Amino acid sequence: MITAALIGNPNVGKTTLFNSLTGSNQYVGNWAGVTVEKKEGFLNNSIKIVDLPGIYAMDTYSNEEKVSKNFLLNEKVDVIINIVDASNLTRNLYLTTQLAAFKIPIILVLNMVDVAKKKGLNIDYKKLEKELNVKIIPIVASKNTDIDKVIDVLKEGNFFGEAIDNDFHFRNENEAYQAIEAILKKCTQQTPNLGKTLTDKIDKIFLNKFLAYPIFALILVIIFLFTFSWVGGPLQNLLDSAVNVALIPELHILLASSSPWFSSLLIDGIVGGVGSVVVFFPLILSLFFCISILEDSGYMARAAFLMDKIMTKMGLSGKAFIPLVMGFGCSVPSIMSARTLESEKDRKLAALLIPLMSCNARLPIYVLLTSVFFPKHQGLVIGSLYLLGIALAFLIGILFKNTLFKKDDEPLIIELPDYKFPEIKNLLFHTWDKGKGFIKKAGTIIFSISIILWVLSNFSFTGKSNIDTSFLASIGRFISPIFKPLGFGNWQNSVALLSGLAAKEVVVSTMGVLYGANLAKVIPTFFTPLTSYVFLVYVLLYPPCISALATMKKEYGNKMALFALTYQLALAWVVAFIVYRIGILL
Amino acid sequence: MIIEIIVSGLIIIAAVVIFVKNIKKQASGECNCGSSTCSSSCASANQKKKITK
Repeated sequence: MITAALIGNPNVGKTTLFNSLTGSNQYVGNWAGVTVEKKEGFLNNSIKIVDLPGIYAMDTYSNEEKVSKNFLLNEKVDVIINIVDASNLTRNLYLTTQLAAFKIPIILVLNMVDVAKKKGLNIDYKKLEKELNVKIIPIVASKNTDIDKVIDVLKEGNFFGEAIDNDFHFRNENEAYQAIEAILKKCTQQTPNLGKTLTDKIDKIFLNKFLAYPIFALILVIIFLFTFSWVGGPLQNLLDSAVNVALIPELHILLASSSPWFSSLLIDGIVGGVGSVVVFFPLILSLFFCISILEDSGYMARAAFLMDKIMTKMGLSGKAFIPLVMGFGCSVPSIMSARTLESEKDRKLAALLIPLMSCNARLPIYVLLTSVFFPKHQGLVIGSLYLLGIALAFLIGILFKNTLFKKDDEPLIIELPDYKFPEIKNLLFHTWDKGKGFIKKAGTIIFSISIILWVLSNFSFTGKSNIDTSFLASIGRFISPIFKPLGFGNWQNSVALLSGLAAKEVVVSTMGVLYGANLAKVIPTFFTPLTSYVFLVYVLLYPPCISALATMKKEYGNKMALFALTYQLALAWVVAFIVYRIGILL
Repeated sequence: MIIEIIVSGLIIIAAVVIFVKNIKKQASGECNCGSSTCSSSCASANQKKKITK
């Protein structure tokens, strides 16, 4: 078995090449830091390809650099596939010079040769091959061009004995760059004055001092409108009607002759629980579709760049924007991706702030309550929750920066990838992949909790019982005093919040089981507009789920996980209490 | 009636098994979002799967 390590700078197409070589479907993004752990795949069962996180050099100490360096040092690697951005050779080859020190044969894969050509760069591959003493293969990974050549070289194994054995031993960075410049001078030719690229032209507007932030805000507004008004919302209403107007009455007719408890299990337990969450599927898909466009187009890195100033004030580097934005999707991968940040303090602070970014699992709860109590201002109210999370992250960031995580500000170094038109195939794949997760959850954790809650709400120590004397009511009544001062302290809501620790969507399915399938009609009995908003504030701020806490524990230890749990519970309660009190005064 | 009891029993057992399995997975820090590739870091368990072409 041959082991090939795939290594290169961030965002040069490593994962795209890895997917092409192994037939895998690992996530590919048009921004740096997508890969933070090594991944393994196999080519023809005989060549193991290991995709390592993107790094710029071997001499700095972020976690992904450690992963790459340790792998090359400690594992048996037969060949390094060093993928470089052909349009940015000087910076990319710096890593190549450092890889030479490992004395492992290198295949230098020049990716994005089409972009280099567009930029007017002509590369003499033969000459460069000679100068560097490595096998060079020019490819365009995104278009699958010449990937077969990489496969052939790997299969033939003719890279052996071609370890760089030249003078790539430099005393410092400057010396290395001078040597690279000298080599490139011999092997490349830059056509002068090709004019500005499309990316330059777009950036002139999108990163303009005065226009950048309004454009950023406009993009966010468009995402909201697309999700809630233009596409997601209408489709959600259709699905909701299909469940509540067509499916449930039909089931009632079908199960008319069966025992009341059996039809209740199927209709209130399964359909009421799972159905009340599944109706939000179109909204989730719409939101993911928009996020995928931002990721694939290259705008996400610009957003991080724009947010740098604000991030610095929060005690974080602009690079932390990416884990924080990912937090709008799911807290778990976001907390893990915080490991791409250079300093330990940055990583911990980001991990503590990520849960304040409203993850998509909370969306069904927001939509459910706002559609009942604020139908005309639904987008505004949901937007206010997202903003509240961001504002609190900002304030908590400042607080922690000046107390727990005192440190000097670090400058942001982030690569701005070229803009590209998102590929429909990629967009659909990413959207479906994330959406599929939602359905999977509906069929597993949401389904199981709905059934368990149905059992607990229909039985007590004395056997079959009324819901008000059930096991669940007892549990709910035990914890409901905590929520009484917040205005929504009935036992049903308390149970919904408790079960929401398994997954946030479960809050809705729990309500579906406890209040009945047609939630929109029943909910006004248990909430007022004010208490519904306070409830949403609590949902926004209390711990996202057990997974997120477990990830926190895994990444940063027990103390941090316990601290995160305590501070999130306290923050949620205090902020919800303040909002409730202010609401009463108004 | 007997069929209803059997079906209900099976549903409840399935629910408990799924619940316990899911909570175990979550407690080990595995991603809860359900997606296989929501992030390369998220699906560490999936990465161990041997992908062959």
